[in-house]
Amino acid sequence: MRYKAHFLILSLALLLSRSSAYAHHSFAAEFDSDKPVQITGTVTKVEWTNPHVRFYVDVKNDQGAVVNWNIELGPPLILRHLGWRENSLKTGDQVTVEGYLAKDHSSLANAKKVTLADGRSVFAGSSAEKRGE
Amino acid sequence: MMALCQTEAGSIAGSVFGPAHAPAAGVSVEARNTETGTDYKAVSSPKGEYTLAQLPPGKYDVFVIDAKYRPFVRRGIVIRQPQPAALEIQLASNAGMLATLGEMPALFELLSKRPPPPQGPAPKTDDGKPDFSGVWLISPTSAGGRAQQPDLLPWARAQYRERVLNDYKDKPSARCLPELAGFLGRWPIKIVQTSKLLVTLRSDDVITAHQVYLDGRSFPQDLESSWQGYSIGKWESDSLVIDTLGLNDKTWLNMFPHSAKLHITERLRRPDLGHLEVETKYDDPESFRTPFQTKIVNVLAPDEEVEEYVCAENNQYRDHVSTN
Repeated sequence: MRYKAHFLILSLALLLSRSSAYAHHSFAAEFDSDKPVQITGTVTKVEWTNPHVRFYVDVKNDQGAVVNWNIELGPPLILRHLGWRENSLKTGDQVTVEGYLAKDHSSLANAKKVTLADGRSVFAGSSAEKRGE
Repeated sequence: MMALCQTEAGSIAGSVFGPAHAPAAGVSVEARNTETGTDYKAVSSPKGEYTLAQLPPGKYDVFVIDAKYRPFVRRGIVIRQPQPAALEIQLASNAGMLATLGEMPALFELLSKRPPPPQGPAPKTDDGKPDFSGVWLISPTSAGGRAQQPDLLPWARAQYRERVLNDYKDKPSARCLPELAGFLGRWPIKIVQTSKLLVTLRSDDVITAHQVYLDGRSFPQDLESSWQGYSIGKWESDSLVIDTLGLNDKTWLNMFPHSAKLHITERLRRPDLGHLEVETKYDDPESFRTPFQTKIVNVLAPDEEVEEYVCAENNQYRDHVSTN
């Protein structure tokens, strides 16, 4: 596991006053914005479900042991509007996930960006980068 | 003598600093006497200075709950004598607050990229009433507006502060329990209207349908409390006025607490084909000093559709976060 300094400037600060009310749960209740995390590994399962889409990634830790990470995304409805489908990410895909670590779980994270081995972004919110349709 | 000393008031004073240790002006600093539950409030001066005065002896928790900053709390400050207790308050920026990928701000971005809604006159039903039928989404302007802040009574204010301080972790929807969303079309909301009944359908809540009776009935005498309450609509010129009673006290109103005495009045207008205006009044004398109002504008989204939302299918929240 590798932590990397990360600074995100949100131009939508005003919107945040209502953000928690719009979301299924508040980001900060589950994840630590002071703990950015980056992992690379193999997708073992994708769950295209409510209230969150999830996928699981086998990651080798520093000791060489394989740890299965649980990665949380938004709901299917919004991800689909961003151009992604159930099969956008597949078992066996090699991915790099940048996100934030859960507060009380060592291998649970929230994804900010998911990149495939060939450099394409998945679930990144850009329709120019979508695949799997 | 002892009794006299105990009644003498003390104070908590100091300065409020924002990021980079710059004095923060106009920030509300709240203190709660943990024994009596009484709230005290001061606002920082242009130099960032504040004084919470006239504090009876006792133990106090001091808070700053301000959307611009991460919440601040210092608990257990003891006031024993009429000497000011010093408390410097260093606040951290809230700009690092994040949301789950595919939730916020992705939803706002999607809303702002939508084409303008269709134009034309507002449709009427066969009996000449305004027809609100259609699929609606909140307008980007309404989505970006600041939520109204009710003037909360002390118990409600205390509960709200704790919700903010624990990152809203007990929000009912996180456990797949219903919300009090009304006509807020943050995800597509569908209105189906007949002469006797208006139904809202939505895909962002475990309660997917809510009925508003238009058939002239009165509220039941033995109205039991429920998550969505009992709603009756009456026409006032071009507006439909919907009263909702019989709500339980378990839902969160935006992020604020409310009691089972909450009375919601929604006034719907469709000024033209593409817009639905909803003015909502929240009256709850057990929770708010005065009723408060919000206004949102929804836009017609004929290309959208509501869909199923099976929240319980894969909700791992309780495995990951300890809730009450």
